[in-house]
Amino acid sequence: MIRIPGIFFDGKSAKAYKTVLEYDGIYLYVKGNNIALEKCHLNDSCTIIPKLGDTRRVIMFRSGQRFETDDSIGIERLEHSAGINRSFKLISFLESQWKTVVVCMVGLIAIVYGFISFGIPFIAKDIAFRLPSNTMNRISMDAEVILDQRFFKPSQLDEDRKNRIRQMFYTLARNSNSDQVFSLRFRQSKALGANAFALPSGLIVMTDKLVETSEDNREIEGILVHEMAHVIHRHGLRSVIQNTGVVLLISMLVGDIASITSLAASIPTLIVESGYSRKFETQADEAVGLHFMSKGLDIKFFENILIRITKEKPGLKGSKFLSTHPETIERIKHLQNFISHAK
Amino acid sequence: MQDIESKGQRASGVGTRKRYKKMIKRHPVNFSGKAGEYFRIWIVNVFLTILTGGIYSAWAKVRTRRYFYAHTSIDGFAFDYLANPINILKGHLIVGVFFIAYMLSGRLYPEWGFVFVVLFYLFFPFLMYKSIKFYTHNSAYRNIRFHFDGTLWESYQLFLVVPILIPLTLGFFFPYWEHLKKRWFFENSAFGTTFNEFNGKAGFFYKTYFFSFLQIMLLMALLGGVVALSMYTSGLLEQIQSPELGEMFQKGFIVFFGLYAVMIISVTMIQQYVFARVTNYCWLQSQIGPVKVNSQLQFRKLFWIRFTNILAIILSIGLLIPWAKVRRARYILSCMSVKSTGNLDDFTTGVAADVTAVGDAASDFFDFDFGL
Repeated sequence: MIRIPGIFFDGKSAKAYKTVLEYDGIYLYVKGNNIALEKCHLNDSCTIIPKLGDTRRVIMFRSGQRFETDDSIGIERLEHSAGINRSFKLISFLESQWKTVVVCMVGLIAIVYGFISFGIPFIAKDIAFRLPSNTMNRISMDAEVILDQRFFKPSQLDEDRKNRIRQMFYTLARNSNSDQVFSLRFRQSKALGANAFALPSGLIVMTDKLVETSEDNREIEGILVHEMAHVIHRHGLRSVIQNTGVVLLISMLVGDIASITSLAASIPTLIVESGYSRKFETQADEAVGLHFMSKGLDIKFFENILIRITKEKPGLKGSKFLSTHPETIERIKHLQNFISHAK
Repeated sequence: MQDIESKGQRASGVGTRKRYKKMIKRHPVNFSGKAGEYFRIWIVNVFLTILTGGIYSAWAKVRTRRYFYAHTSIDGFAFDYLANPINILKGHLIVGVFFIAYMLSGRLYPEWGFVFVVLFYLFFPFLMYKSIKFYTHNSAYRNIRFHFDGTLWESYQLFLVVPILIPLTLGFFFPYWEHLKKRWFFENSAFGTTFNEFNGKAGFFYKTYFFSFLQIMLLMALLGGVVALSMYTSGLLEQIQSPELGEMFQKGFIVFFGLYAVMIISVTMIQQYVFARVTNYCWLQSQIGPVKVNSQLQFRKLFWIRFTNILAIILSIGLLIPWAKVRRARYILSCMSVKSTGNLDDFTTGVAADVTAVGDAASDFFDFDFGL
């Protein structure tokens, strides 16, 4: 027999009754002056609200009555003998000690790290390669229109130069060993400077300035292979999925008080996202390295154009923090390492 | 304050004539939450939420709310939050799916973002209504649940129809809208079967927003001056004329962060100013049967707490979030007290209605603030 003194509310008024709760192994009884609750079955007709810190323990009855008590030990005995709230016992055990809290924190960091560096990229890759290629085209179409409206003017390069690059491009596309369809466009853009980028559909856009900056066709070849690698590995779509995953993960982490943390959360999100895009850049660079090796070309050509592009925009040199392309020197170092290992 | 009243209470048996006056009781609102204890609960909440891929978030939410409620007591009795986590989980799932769809489509098909915004606005009054219903229904004191009696139609009028008037009147309608929202909430709220009587007037809201408008103007002028000055001295003005985007970006970065910081400070200031004034006023104009709530929030203290909280959270990479929450709750509740002229035992429960949690989850995700 377990006896727990406490306060009882009848579910009709705010009046509090001093009572004693009794449990005989099957039934619960609430006994007090002016009040008596008919015997009721513990498992069927009431809920023992799980322990939470040192707050008062509460039993809610199905028909709206409430019993509350400071006798935490009594309620724990009740839970134990009736076999209720077992999982919550573990949770409140975790919450009750600093030791377990530290373990949880370490576990939390490990899981978040695992998700960010392995889980999310893996899932994103899986989804990205399952999507059919016409989805890619549809996605890219909107982007094409917006880019042409906002950033681009028609190219002013002479046709001869363009045709030579196009020829090189179609040869590369044919030898790319993938069923991806590629296309190439030239555009002029002040805001983007010397630049090239790829859309998921396989469209590669090159700015006039980039072509003008290059001193050798092999430099352009490097850039083209780099962009084609982005398309083949579906980097564009993967980064969209990955970034969505990161936003979800971080909002789960700090979702508790949205008003302050929403702006604090945007910084870690940015850091993780720029880390992802660096990985993609590195992968595309490695594709260039492999291509140049197989053709017996000197990787210097690709390195030179990278350096020249970087010099075109001196302001971005120092802002390693948020740059989408990793610092050029690091990229070149990595590429050289990669080639010497591959040899 | 409390001492005088309790002395009076002790003497109440002496003369019958004085009895009515002596029935007045004043109770402070006690908050006994502790930052360390809540920190442990919070860490376990976050850990289990991530571990279960978000499923535990519903339980985490109930435990968090319960922790703050159960540590808030009046006259020896604590509040309680009685929501069933399963209901909240359903809500979280629905809202989560919507959120992922929104995120992906926003990045893949930008023009679809507009469709979601329209959908969201159409859905918003429904969420608001559900959210308030769920929240009040699951909040209880002395085993009496709170209750909200507003209707879905009123919610649509208030959050979809009326806001159209704000741009039409160049914003002059805005304080009135704020008044309508508060009135809707306070007038339709009940403790058990006892409804709250609310006598708030629109004039007060006009005064409050007029002063915050002045504050904004003053801050903007100040800000504009500072930015112009810093741009002039750092030579940024010349940079803008040249097309070099990179260099402008680098220098602009510092100015941008400075601007961002000042903006957060001014927004926080105005938020806290409005919050303090409006909360105090709404309780002053409320009467729940024999009970009156007294709120004496001070804008300066609220602002200081909020500002230092933000700093502490950023500097501790979020680890001080629990401390900040407990600290703010402790201050707000320490400013409140309750005065009753009748017997608190006489409150009775209302009819229990089935309330789903979709709205509640949405309010958690998107942080709708219906301000209490």
